[in-house]
Amino acid sequence: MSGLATPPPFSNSASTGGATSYIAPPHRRPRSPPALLPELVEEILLRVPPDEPAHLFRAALVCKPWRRILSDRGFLYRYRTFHRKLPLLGYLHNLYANGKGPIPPFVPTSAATPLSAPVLDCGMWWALDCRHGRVLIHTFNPQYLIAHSYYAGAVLCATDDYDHLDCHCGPFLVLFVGTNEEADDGPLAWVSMYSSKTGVWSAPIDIDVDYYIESKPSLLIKDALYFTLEHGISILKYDLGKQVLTEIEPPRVFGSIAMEVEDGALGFVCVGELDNCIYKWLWQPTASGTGRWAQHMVMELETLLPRPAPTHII
Amino acid sequence: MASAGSGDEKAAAAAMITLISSDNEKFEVTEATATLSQTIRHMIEDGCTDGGVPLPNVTSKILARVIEYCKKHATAAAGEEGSSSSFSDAAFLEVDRAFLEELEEFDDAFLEVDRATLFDLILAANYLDIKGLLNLTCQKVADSVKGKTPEQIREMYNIVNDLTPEEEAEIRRETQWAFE
Repeated sequence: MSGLATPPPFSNSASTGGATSYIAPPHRRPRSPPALLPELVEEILLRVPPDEPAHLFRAALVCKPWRRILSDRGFLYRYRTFHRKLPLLGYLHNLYANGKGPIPPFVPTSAATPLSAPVLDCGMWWALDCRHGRVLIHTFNPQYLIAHSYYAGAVLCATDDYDHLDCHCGPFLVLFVGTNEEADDGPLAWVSMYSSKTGVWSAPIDIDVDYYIESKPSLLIKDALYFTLEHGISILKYDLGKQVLTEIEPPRVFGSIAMEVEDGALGFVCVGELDNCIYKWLWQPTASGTGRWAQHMVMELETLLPRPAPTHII
Repeated sequence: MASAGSGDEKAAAAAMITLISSDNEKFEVTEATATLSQTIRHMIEDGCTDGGVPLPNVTSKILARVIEYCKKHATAAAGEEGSSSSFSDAAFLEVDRAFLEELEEFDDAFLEVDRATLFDLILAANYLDIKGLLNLTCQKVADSVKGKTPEQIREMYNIVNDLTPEEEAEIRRETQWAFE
């Protein structure tokens, strides 16, 4: 640890000029901080809070060694692992712009953001899904491709990455799910999956369903994606491993939201109409290979919480 | 606070280690305190502590602060271990919370030092491999970087800007949003 005797703190490579100015800093009365090894500078930068991504960009302009550390892919992975999440820049709000059709604005959640409205310069579009550092967007040109059908989409990485902190540059999967009403006995739901590895869409798989699909973000739990059918009356499950579509009837409650509960199980939550309590249901597989809903928990709410808002945000 | 005393007494009966600073000052500490440092723990395990442990990279002023930190955290850890067997779950949680609050207060007060001392503590924590202290001190610096301009950060920590004006202008242009 020879750092104590080394001239400029956070010692960078500016050796000659830095050393001279350090010995007798004319404008600083307190003792100057001692030099830190690059790995200690990294330890410090690793702990810069992730709530404002601009902080790291500003720090990258301090000097070359800092810039080197902050641009390093290994450091960025460590940063994400340390904070256990990716910094949140904001969200896309699926809204119809005044007289211009569907053009979702980007709503930043940090003071400074690299994205600004309009995010995309591609006419009318809708954000379908968002996962593992990617956003799935549907542009409305040409529109005839999906005429007369209801649809939803999903995007996810195609790796076995456990925490998904560094998978956004790797291969990915896109699912396009739709329902149409051409079948005599009700809507037909179909799904096709695209793999960036092969560049090919799979042959569609379909099943008869009772309701049409809603264009809402999907829910990924373990190896399955779940899509909402008609205001949550029913749920469409796509098993990514077995490549099978099934319809699941949720608990008979109004306004419930599907979510992951209890370490990878499918669950539903809703706020009681009269008692302002949160009810939670858990899908419990049965021996026969199907499953049943079990009311799992009731939580009393303070009156401060508003009723659940419509979920157009992803 | 009351329970911290019992941990101290228990630790006092344990083996003592002598730490020697770079300016040759000797500090007697318990093994429980010393082994918060992984570096010293390994030396103890290897039987290399007879006659004291020389720490040529740590001054007496900084070593005294480091020992203060280790004593507090070793005592808290010992108190926590002792309490787990003799309290009910609820009482244990209460004691646990009290320990954590007390430790947080101690850590906050401990970090009230000038920047040079803070950096000395980082160097010492790294050399002695004291993870808690390294985390605490690095977090303090990281929090101070938050919200500052590059110029302010350089000024605070006396960092030489070795980027050319052209490079600086290019970076600012590329990431203009972060500087608005």
